[in-house]
Amino acid sequence: MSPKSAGLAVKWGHNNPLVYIEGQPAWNKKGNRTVPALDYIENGLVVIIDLRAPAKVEGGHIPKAYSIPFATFMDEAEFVLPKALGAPIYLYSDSDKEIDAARKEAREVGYKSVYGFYNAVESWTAGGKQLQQGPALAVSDDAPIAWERKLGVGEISITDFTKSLQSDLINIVDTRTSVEFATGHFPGAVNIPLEELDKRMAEIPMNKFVVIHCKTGARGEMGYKMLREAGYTVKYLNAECECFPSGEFEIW
Amino acid sequence: MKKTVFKFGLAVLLAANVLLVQAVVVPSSTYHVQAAEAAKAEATHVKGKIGNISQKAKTIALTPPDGSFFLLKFTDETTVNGADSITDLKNDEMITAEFKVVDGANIATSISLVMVELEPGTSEVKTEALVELVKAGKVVVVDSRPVVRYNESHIPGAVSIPFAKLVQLGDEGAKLLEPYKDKQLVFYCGGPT
Repeated sequence: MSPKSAGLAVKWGHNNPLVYIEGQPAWNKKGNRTVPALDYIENGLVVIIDLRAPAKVEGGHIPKAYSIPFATFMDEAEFVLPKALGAPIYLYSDSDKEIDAARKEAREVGYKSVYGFYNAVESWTAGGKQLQQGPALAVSDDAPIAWERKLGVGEISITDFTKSLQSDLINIVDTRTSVEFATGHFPGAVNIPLEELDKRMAEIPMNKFVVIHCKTGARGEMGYKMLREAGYTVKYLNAECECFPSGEFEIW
Repeated sequence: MKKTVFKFGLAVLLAANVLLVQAVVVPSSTYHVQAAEAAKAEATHVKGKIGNISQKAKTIALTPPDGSFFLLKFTDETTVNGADSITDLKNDEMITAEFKVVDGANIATSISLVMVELEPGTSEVKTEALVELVKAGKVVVVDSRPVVRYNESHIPGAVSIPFAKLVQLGDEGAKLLEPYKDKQLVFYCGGPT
């Protein structure tokens, strides 16, 4: 994208624009910081966590932030963070070291989109935004942060997916391999590995609603697109799941 | 005698026929084979962005430039150019692939990562140099990625002007860059894709 943008700039009379081809991944990899857009922090579907001591939090924090003091965060991150491992999490503190350590911890317990929001309070006020006084939102093991992703095209929510397992009107198609299927699967699911789906599509009745899934959502999404093109009414589960031989399962 | 001549005549005719076949028919059939292979080679090349990749199912969901959907399978024999192995390929990377159709499936024989080419009149800047330029406040950094990516995280001080928006606006897009006419522009995105 950027080399072509620079090409357009030349066309429009800009002198020798530079292109940073390595891009943002290299920027971060070499230890340089990035920042979020303040409007996105204010209005977006994000989880903001204030790692500072409660007294400081009460003195002024970013609205919608949850207060989880650093030491607590390091002990309990996996119990208080939202169930969805894809939730965008922004961590801030007045200590950059704490941000770095907390970020590492959150990633280690499985969160995929964890960002350090460095100099958050300063940049918030510098950007013309108001800090909130008083205590911030609280969390505990019993009441972890509630966060649900907005569904993309063709996706079914975890709640609706779980409900659909009880319906005779819905066909569950498991696109994992037969080996994965054999170690445990959702009740009533039919196993058609993704690589066989094009050949075995006729096994799926067209007159029922189809919900397709795999272990992570990747194969499910591919299957969803194939079935949709073939004219099926279909949704897919874009979440990770684990099925046990006992018939029990976990989806997150 | 007559019979012999006839026989000989037939032999000559047959020989002539063979020559004719060799001279005319054979090259023409060779030509047809080449044309068919060319058509086949054309049909078995695909370019697209990786929408999704499953190492387990050995399948890549590609989004070709026309926005359609293309399912490409790979095997242990598939060769890779521009990356160490298929496990290094990531979502949103642009690849080209040669493939053959086996039982209705598109099996990749080779996959190549598409490398970035600079446009005339532009130059590359490396990370270390850019860090200094940003520190000195000498440049306007332009984030070419979609706004959602910019919102999540961007280089401090960068402005968001998505490439897609510039394309969409056509020559009107020049207005978005106009305020920075006297400044040194630096464009960046999510890496070489």
